[in-house]
Amino acid sequence: MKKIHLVSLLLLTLTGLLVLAGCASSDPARRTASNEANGAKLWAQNCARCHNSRSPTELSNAQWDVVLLHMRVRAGLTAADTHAIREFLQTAN
Amino acid sequence: MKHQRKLIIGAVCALATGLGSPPTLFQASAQEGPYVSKDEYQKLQREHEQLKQELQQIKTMLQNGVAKAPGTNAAAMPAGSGDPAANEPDKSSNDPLSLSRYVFPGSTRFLLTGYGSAGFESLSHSDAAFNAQFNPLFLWKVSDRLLFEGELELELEDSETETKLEQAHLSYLANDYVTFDAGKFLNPMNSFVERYHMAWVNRLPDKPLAVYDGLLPETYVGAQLRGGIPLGSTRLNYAAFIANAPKLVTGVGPDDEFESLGTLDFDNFSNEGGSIASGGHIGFLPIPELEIGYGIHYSGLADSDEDAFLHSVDLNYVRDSDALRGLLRVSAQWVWSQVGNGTYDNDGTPLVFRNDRDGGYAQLTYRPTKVDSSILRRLEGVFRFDRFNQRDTPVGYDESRYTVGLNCWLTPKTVFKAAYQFDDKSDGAQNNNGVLFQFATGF
Repeated sequence: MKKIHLVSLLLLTLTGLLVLAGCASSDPARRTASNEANGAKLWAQNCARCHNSRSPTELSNAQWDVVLLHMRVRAGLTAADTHAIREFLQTAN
Repeated sequence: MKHQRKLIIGAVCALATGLGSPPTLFQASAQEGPYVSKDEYQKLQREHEQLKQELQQIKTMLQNGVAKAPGTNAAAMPAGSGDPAANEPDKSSNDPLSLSRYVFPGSTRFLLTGYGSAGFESLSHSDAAFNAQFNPLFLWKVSDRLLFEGELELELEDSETETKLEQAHLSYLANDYVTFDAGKFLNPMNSFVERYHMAWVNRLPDKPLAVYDGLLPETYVGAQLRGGIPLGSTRLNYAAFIANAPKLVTGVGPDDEFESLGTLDFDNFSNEGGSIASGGHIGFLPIPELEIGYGIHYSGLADSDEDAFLHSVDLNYVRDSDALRGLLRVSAQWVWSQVGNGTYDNDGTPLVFRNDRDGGYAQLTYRPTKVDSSILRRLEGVFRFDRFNQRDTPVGYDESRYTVGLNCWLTPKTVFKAAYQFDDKSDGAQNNNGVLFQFATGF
């Protein structure tokens, strides 16, 4: 069981390091460049992983913003993917 | 965008109305002759310039207003770098446009969503019954970085309506890769619960053995760090949590179910015993269609000196195939639960057994989304295999279950499900074969 404690500790330590690493890394411009091309594809891939895709016109842009924030947390979407999907939805809506 | 258009149309109407007044001048002048005087021409020119300026001001206000309006154009603000304060509207402003933003439909940051279902089950050795369930989900985007999620579960249980707090947690996006989450949240190592438990997402009327209402908690009360990390063309998602620990059922009385002896009671909301559970889940996506995950849970246990070690592997594969002319989904999860050897109290009689259990499911679905027939495109076939091994515990048998189902999708979030379940228990235990139906929708 001590090994299990170590695994848990290692996992938490790894996450802590990610927090520190993440604080210093953000490049919105680079993200945006690749977002527009990938938005529709990412939308299809990430939604279909669990459920049927909904029509982009089903919700307003503001409502999609809430849904995307929710799915970013729930489905572990990356920030870049979330941003690209948001751009696609706003274009398609 | 509709509101922008409305306002622009309004502005154009105002311009048109402004331009509509000169005919009086023209008419007045026309009484004297076919031409306007220089003064009249200059007056018209000034009015025209003034109206152009006003229209430009309205356009500028609209552009600034939309950029600042909450939730209306978050694309203008890079993800993870938004200033929440900049998103707040100026409540002290008397500007009608600014104030009206509060009542624009679609600009709210609150979303009521969820799902509901109605079902019917007729299984051998139990009474056939209809059932109904309603799960409202409340999402509140407090800022670009902060989200509150609350979910209630209302279902019929015996002669009462049972109300449960399924989720209530607050998520804070610390940066692009880390989200801090606290409250009552879905178990990140239970891929079925996190991804598929919603009635309109789950492909069968019932839920899998072992992983649901069995070996893994559905929710935790605690805190977690989670997020997604791009790794080149692949992706990793992770979660690490600490939470209240479960209780171990160490003794049963004459009125208790003997089978519950040695099981874990995950609803230890007051954290009786004071132990803490820790663990997490890592999911890796080598290709976008495939996700492979591994999760662990380790904790002490209330009412026991034993520890609980739960771990599981999960897999999810989705393929939109031209060759198969449709969408293929494969999902599977297997869980191992190790609570160690202990002495239990069976109504005053000591009982010793090895409290290790395991089980899981594998599910295959296919929907012919690329065939010509619109009727066939609505249909979806499902097969699920479940297994729960706990023969050496007070339960006393292992169980296999085979379920075949056919779904008819009325909308992307509304489905009618019909299924037949073949149950196979060892050691002479009663099998529960039968039919299940469910009509489910998400909203």
